[in-house]
Amino acid sequence: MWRNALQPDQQRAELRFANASIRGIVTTVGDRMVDFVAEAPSMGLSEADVARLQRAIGLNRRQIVSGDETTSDLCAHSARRLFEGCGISPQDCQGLIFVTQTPDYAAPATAISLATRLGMPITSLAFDMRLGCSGFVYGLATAFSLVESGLDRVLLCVGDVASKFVDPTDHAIAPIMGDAGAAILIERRPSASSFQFYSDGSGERALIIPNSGVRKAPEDEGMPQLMHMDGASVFNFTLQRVPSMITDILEFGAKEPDAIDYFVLHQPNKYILKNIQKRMKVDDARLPSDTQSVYGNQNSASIPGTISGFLSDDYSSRRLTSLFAGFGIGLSWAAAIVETDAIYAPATFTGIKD
Amino acid sequence: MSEIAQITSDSLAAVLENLETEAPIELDLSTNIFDAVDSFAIVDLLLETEGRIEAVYGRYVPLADETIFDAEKSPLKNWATWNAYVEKCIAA
Repeated sequence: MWRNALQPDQQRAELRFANASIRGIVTTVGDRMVDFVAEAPSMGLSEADVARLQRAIGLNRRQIVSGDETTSDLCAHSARRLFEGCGISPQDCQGLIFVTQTPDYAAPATAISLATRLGMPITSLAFDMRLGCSGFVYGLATAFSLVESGLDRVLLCVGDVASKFVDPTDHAIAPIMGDAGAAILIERRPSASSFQFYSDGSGERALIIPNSGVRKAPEDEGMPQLMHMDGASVFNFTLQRVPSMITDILEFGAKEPDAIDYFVLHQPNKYILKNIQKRMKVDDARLPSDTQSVYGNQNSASIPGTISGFLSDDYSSRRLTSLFAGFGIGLSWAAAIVETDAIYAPATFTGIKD
Repeated sequence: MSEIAQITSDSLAAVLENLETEAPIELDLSTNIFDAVDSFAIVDLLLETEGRIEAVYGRYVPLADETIFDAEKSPLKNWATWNAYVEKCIAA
């Protein structure tokens, strides 16, 4: 079970920033579109199963990579488009944070080679962060911290090629996962933001890739090195933790719900998002929930992926106050209230061959 | 049968219509739906029930909370408890 309810006087991991802001967001998804109806027979699903999964989870189609493309390839494509679109040279960026669970290698850190591929100077810092669905918010806060501490610009790259760590015949998880890599440019500019973070390792096994590291746990013996999900536990965790986190970040950020233009949440499935939306009494248009149905679960790229996929016009053209919330594997969850002002946010790119 | 009991039983019937269960589910007040169907069917039941409540009461009532998939606490482990749970959600 998850740990007990938070104590009101408990010291919290909370951060505020005043001089860091997002300059642009670009997302690239895998080039291969997989239609759920077409792939269902290979998973042993009947027509009736397909209908209820489509209704219950919102499964429709997803974008995955073809061949050997990696998360860093998707992120590199996004980053190049981002630098071009913002008119910034990679030489003018002093840091790269790469948030993923699917690095190129277990060692060394992918961020270092990615920085070199992008043309960033050797005088820049680069490191990986191993987080999943909460990773965008954690990465954004880390980038904001670096910028507030003195760097001019930091590139945040987030994403996963999750299709590579699921059993393609496992109907409980394979049809959910999409592949995406996003790049976000953060720079020093006056802008107010607030962040909150949570971590609960007692839910470690709710989402796990067994035998994927050094630990050889007896309960993992013989299990394939593929993502295993206890869907019921994850569902319960989400409904237990996410609505209260949203309430708490609004309080910490001193914002009323009406002051938030968009609630951009991680996109695990349509039903959970609709449930949260109704509980929070937020109208449909301000809490998008279609990403899963079009692109699949993009893991740490799902928040920028939702902006690129469905909100690019609005983010490109006006000042917005956004509430971001990421939650999942770890268990790890985090939220932020962030101001943006007509950032570079083109629509999603499909594939890296352009 | 109360209006809410009618909604819950009609919702379950609609879900089971498209579901292949190992044995037919005999519905009485002690029926354990939680152990009889898979997690996707439970989400389907939530959706179906929420839709019927909205049609009758004119408002959306979210039924899922952190107990729904809890193996010990789920209200779906007993049909009478489920009906009471739905009634409480509508009244809230």
